[in-house]
Amino acid sequence: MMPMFTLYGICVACGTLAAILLFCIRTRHTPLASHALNLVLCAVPAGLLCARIIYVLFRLPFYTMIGFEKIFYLRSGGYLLYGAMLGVVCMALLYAKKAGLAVEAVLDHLTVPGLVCIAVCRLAEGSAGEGLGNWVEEGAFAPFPLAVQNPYGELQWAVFILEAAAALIIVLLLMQRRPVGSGRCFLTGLTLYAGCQVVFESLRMDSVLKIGFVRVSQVISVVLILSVFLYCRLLQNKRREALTGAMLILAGVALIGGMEWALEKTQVSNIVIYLCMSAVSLGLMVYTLRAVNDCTLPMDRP
Amino acid sequence: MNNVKIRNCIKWILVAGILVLLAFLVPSPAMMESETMVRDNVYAGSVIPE
Repeated sequence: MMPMFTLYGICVACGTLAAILLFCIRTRHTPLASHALNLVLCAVPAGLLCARIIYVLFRLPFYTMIGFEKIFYLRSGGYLLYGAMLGVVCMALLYAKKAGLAVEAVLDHLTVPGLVCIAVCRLAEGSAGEGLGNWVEEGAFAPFPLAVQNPYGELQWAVFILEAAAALIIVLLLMQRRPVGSGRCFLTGLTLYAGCQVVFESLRMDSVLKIGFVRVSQVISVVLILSVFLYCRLLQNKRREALTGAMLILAGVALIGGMEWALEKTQVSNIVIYLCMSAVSLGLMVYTLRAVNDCTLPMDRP
Repeated sequence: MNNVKIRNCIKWILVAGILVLLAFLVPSPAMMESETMVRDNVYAGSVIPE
């Protein structure tokens, strides 16, 4: 029998509350102030709904088997975090358009609170025995918080703490960025988060969403990085650079794919492979962030 | 002015309602997975529900 509320569910709600409060505080002296709560009331349900829809879409064969009515049993099955992000962003775009607000400003102001919510949700995964990496080998240096005990008392690498720490570091980096409102804060946050997730998703050994051997969140991360890059380059009408850059990013993605294969099929040390994967992912982030910084966004123009 | 305050108050109550709903609808991932696995087995016929 499933309890009415779980610690994880309560933590997700607390993370969302923290994000809402932060959003309201950060927008109180901006034109968004009078819209903050309306936006929250639209965006949170949209995020929840999209998180479920995207999860169901990726598990369609399973739901075809057990019956489509199970899609509406929201307490079983699952949700996809990237789906929630999509729902919030789409609702923000719609709301900004309807209320006559600058879309870029709305997205910029949502970025930091969104990442804080993600950090809290990631930390909460630990309470549910999720977000764990490989088993720690005997004799390895693995103090808390690098590794934690799983429900069976074995030591596993704590990927959820890494994910939460990365989200908080991105928050600190973005809070240094001024001015907010051009859309650059959103694009930077998205690139950094997606770049980190490429590696973290690979490190996770729990029930991540997969199609065959491909991890769904890893693919979405790569698609997001490529989309940000192409958006920035095409905005400047640099089609040739966009094409060559996209080829370069795809080469990086192929390298990461090769490393995933090496993890499964070769005897090469996992640490070496993960270091290489982190280097490639860092390269993708830096390359995309250069495009974001070089680009003149619509709100930058006088 | 009072109207604005009342409207804001109602909005915060709605936000609280949404958060409670969120806490209710999102059980722990491990639980969701085990529920799913049990259901998989039930539908595959390997587990007979009591």
